[in-house]
Amino acid sequence: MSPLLRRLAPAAVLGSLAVIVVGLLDPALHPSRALANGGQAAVGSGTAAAARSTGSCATAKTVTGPVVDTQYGPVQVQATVNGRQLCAVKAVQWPQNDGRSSMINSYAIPQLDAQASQQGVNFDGVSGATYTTDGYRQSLQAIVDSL
Amino acid sequence: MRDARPVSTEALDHASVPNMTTPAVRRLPRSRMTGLPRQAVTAIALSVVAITALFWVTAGGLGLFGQGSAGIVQALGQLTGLAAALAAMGGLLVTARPAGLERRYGLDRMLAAHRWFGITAVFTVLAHTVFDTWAWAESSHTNWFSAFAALSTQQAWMMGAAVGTALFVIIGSTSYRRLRQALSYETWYFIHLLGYLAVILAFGHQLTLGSNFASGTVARWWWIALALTTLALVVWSRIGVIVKSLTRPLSISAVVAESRGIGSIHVAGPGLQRMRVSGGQYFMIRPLARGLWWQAHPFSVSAAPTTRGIRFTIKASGEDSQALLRLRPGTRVLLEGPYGTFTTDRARGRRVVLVAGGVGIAPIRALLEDCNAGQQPVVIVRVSAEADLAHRAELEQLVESRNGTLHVLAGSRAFFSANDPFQPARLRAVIPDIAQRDVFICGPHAMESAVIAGVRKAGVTTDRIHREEFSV
Repeated sequence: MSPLLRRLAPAAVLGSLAVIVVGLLDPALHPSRALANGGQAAVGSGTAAAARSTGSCATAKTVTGPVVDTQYGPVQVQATVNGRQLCAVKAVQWPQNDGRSSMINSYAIPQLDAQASQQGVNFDGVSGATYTTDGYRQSLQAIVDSL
Repeated sequence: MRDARPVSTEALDHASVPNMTTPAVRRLPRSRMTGLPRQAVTAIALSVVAITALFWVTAGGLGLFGQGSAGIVQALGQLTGLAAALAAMGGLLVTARPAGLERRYGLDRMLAAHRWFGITAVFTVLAHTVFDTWAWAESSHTNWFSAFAALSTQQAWMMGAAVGTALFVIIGSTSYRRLRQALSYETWYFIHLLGYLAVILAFGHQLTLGSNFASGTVARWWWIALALTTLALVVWSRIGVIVKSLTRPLSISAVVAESRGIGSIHVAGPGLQRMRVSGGQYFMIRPLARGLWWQAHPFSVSAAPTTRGIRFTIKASGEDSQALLRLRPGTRVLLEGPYGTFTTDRARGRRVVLVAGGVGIAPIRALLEDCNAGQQPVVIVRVSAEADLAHRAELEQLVESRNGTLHVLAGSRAFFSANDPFQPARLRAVIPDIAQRDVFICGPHAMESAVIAGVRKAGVTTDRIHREEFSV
């Protein structure tokens, strides 16, 4: 090996390793893995998920859940329902008083909305946004209980 | 110098002094030594820090301190993250050596600043990792390690940030003196280059997760602008050298043996056209020859560059400088520079003393050429033996035409350490007006220290002592 290659080797190995690790593992490059609840299988709540496929949401009405106070601020969700069937869920209020909460929730809320609409009350939740997840679930649970 | 051999006698002419009689050959313009005003540099640096801090405050940064221990940890995480990013940008900027900064501060002080920025970046980025992961663990009721794993595997660009941090730590530790000595220069250098990769890998998470730079905010644009400016300056300064050498090439026109162990190389070509060099400055020379192209070494210009070429005087001290003196005429070279603020512009008074040790004669010889008769340069050259003195004839001619005097001190280092020629009394005897002169020194470290001690005692104030240390 030439002296140049010998001296270049450690940096080249380190550099390629860095690029490969980031390329293979970074969530930004693998959107499917990003923000998923690490390791937990997506166990859908039977009722909501199953009902979705059979019932019609064309005649759905909108129900707003209670405001749930979390340590970082209030969470409130709104659901469109058709009878006892959840058609879609979205948050209408969430903690964004401080920079970090807005930051966390800016990605957690869309994720929670998607999960809850798909899976119902027993949605996976978003790690790193535990308080919001809990508040979201409580507000949604209240809607489901009222149906 | 066994291997260096005169190849072309014609090349010697341009170096012989003074050669202004031939109309075709004229001296290239001197470089402008102004650079950015110190106050402007300070003002820019302070405003970058202040504006960033302001965005942090307006995003509610200060409020975090009122939110108990979790808030404080979070605030510290954000602050250390911002500090690390700014330090990394600063480090990149100074190591890109933009001319405006180099002219003002000189390369050695910029390297010192790079070192300072680097150390700051490594430690603040580690603190940022600890604090932010801790804050995340608090908010998601988990321990630090689970939080770290969750962050780096589930958040956009966090694996990039983790790997970038690891690279930073590796770069930092290989620069730690003990470890660095164990590595060859090039091994260390190539690892150091990974710093660019580390900064790029770590940039993504600043935008996706940086709570101060949420999308749609002015702060986000500020941060992007800052990063792009740094990138532009780095690309401009680094790639510019390569582009210049392609469009205006330079090659070796002659290699000449000057004295025992010292040779000179002459470089000429279209690349001279827009070159502006002052005596005392140096270039990084990268010969485009097999086995040499991947490293650049600094060498001082030893004669005022003319339209016919530029000359470097080199001591065959190491493998690389020996290889340089074996190059054949016609070999392409990349010159990066000129660098250095060791020029006659630094003189505060009128008359000067120039002191050279060994191959330190190269910049001193070029400085002497930039002196005028009013400066009455007194040149003191210390060499081990008369045979080691390069450019003697040139020195004599230059001194004469500039109303100066030349003193050659020949003797071993042991002899001089026993008989310090730079004792204040001796200096005053030889140069009665020394206290009114500026002193320029270039030589080995020990000699420079001896000269500085001597001339200070002889009444020269610190602001009139100018040194250029060569460390090989």
